Order: sequence, then structure tokens, then C-alpha cells
Amino acid sequence: MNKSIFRDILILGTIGLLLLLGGYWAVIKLKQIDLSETFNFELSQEYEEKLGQMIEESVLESGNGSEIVRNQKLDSALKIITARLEGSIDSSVYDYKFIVLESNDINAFNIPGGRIFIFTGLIDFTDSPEQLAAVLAHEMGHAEHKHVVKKLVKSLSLSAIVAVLTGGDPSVFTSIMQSVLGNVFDRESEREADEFACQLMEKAGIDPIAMATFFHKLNEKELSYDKNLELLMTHPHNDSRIQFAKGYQLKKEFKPNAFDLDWTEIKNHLGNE
Amino acid sequence: MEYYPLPQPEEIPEREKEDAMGAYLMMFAAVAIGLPLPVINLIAAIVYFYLNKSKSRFVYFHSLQSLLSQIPTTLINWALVIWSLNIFFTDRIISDEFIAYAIVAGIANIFYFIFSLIAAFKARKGKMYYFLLFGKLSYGIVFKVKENEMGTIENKPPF
Repeated sequence: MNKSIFRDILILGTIGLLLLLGGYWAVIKLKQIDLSETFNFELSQEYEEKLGQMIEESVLESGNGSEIVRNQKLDSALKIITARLEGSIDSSVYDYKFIVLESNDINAFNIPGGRIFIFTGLIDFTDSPEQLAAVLAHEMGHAEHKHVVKKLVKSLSLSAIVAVLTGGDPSVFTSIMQSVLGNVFDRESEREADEFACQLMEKAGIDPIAMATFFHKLNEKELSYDKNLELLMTHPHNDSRIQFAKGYQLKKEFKPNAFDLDWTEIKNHLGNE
Repeated sequence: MEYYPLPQPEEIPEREKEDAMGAYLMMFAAVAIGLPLPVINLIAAIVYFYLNKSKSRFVYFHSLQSLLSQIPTTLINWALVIWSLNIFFTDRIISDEFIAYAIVAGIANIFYFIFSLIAAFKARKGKMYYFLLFGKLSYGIVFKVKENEMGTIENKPPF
């Protein structure tokens, strides 16, 4: 009797352990499967570049009242910031292009082909070049992880996008524009971009705390939503992002290298243009 | 070690067969009510067990087996609820470990559901049905002849 009970305990314990290991293995395996790779849903680099060009032209043509800002001081400051970030990426398929648009919106967004649009409202909102670098690094994270392209392929199908690029149905292009300019990514993508941004900032000698400071400022401006709604929202709550940036483990040898830029003067100059 | 003889299907009254089946089926209703507090089904099983244990050894066995077999799944479900609440009120990051545990908890509940259903049908037909481990434990508790049930009490020396 006792022997057979011990045998049963052993059998149940083994089943439980196998189930637990099997469940964990299944999760790991499922996460490794990139559906876009499995079903070859990738948009070729050539097509992505072409799509990026088309969207850029369309944004600049329609513009919604936003015009490209040409400001020598800002341009040279932006060059310093972006060169530091770009130089810190190990290998990138993109030759990034940063375009500043006149708009009071505190926003930046990226489109396929490594093009990143920055609104003057965002520049004006930041307190330091490091904060702007944090936002740009985040957008570069979206680009490097190909979030925009993946989102487009997911929502419109690869064939529809290729049809547009090869001169097909132009009405689909409107959907592409809406999807790109909507600039809403899922929570996982936002986390990936934040993680990429912190790593890039560290390599570039910029303290990721700038990202936390930026989100803290956004919170103060009440641009975030109620934390209790976070599970329902696509973006992680700013508090979570502040925590993430603050908790980011920097290497021991990390030494911050502040930008030698008079940010207030650059911003003032921007306002006077 | 002596055991009472097992009751055979034809000897068991219909009423007892239904009571034995009820021990398993009652739990399904309790689970539905108990969600998301999985302890309610356990309480229901305990109540059912104490109400029915004196009816017959057959009903006693099935009620006890149903009660004992609920303990692991109840614990698993409770852990899942506590873990979920912890995630909700803290960092809100769903880890791989949590997903794996949720899958395992789901599978454990499905197994439990299937085996309970089989046991309910067997009990309705007046048959004994032994779960792994819990079947043997219940049989040992219910059918084992205890010393004081053997007849006269016998005094023994200390060595």
C-alpha cells in the first residue's frame, strides 16, 4: 500500500514537473518564432526605401500646415546629437534622415527607410539635448526593429504594399499614410524601442536618465493617461517608462559625456525664426 | 492490514450512487461560482463530504476522493490568482514564467475536469474509480478496518 502510494506521488510529481518544463519550453519556443520571418513577410530594403521616399514626399506635400524648418543653429545641433547616436549603433541598414517640421505638437515619428520627423514643439518642450536624444534614440529603436514596416504589413498585407510601390491601387496609399502617421505601436514594440534607446544612449555616452526626466516632464504636463488604464492602452504608462529608464543598469565604466550645446539659445533662436 | 469488502454495483442503492456522483458534479457548479476565488469549490467539497460521509462507505469514498483531488488544483489556481493580482498591482509585466505557469494551470484544470467527469459516471454506475494517489489514499482511509472496530478492546503491556 505505502509503496504504491509513493509510486503514485512519484508519477504525479513527474507529470507536474514535465508539464511545467513543457509549458516553459512552449513559451520560449513561441516567442522565438517570428511570424514575419516564417512566412517571409519582410519588405525588401529596396521597397522599404521606396516606400519611405513616397511617404516623405506625401508628408511634405500635404504637410497639414507643417513646413520643414531650416535653422542653421538647430541643424548643426541636431547633426551633433544624431551623429553621436548613429555612430553608436553597431550596424544599421539605415542612413538616417532627420527632418524638423514646424508644429506645436510634442511629437516625433518615424517612417520606413530610416526617416525620422521631429516637431518643433518637441524641441521646445525638451530641457536639454540629452532629452531630445532620448526621444530620437527611441524612434531609431522603432526603425531598427522595423516596427513601422511590420505594422504596415500586418494591417495591409505585403501584396497591397508592393502593389502601391509598383504603381498599383493608389487608394491603398492613403491607408499606408494613416497607419504610419497614426504612429501607435503596441506595448511590446514601445518597450523594445525604449530598451534599444537606453542601450544606444549608454553607448553614446548619454545617461538614460534623460529619458526618465523627459517622461516625468510629460507627466507634469498631464499628457499621460491614468496608470490604472495601462493594461487597456497600447503605450506603456509614462510611470512605467520612467521606472524602466531609471532602473536601466549602466555598465560600471560608463561615463556621461554631456553635449556642449547651449540648448536655451538654440530654442530661443528657433522661436525667433 | 485488513480492509472492509468492497460494495458491488448491484448491492448499492440508487440513492447512494447518485450521492457518490454528486460529489464530483457538485464541484463544477462550485467552481463556476468560486471563480475568481478558487477556494469556494474546496469549501463546498468539505461541506458535501461531511454531509455524506456517514451514508455509506461507497459515498464516503467518492466524497473523500473528490475532496482530496481538489486540493492540488485549488492550490494551483490560488497561486495563479495571487500571481495575477501581483502583476496587476506592481510592474504589470507578464513574464514568460507566468505564461508557462498559466498554461500548466490550465492543463491541470482540464485533466481534473476530465477525470472528475469519468469518476462521476463510474460512481453513478456503482463502480469504484481510483484516481492516481488520491484513490489509494481514500480507499485506505475509508475501507481500512480500524483496530477498535475489530470487536473487543484489548489492553496491552507497555513493552
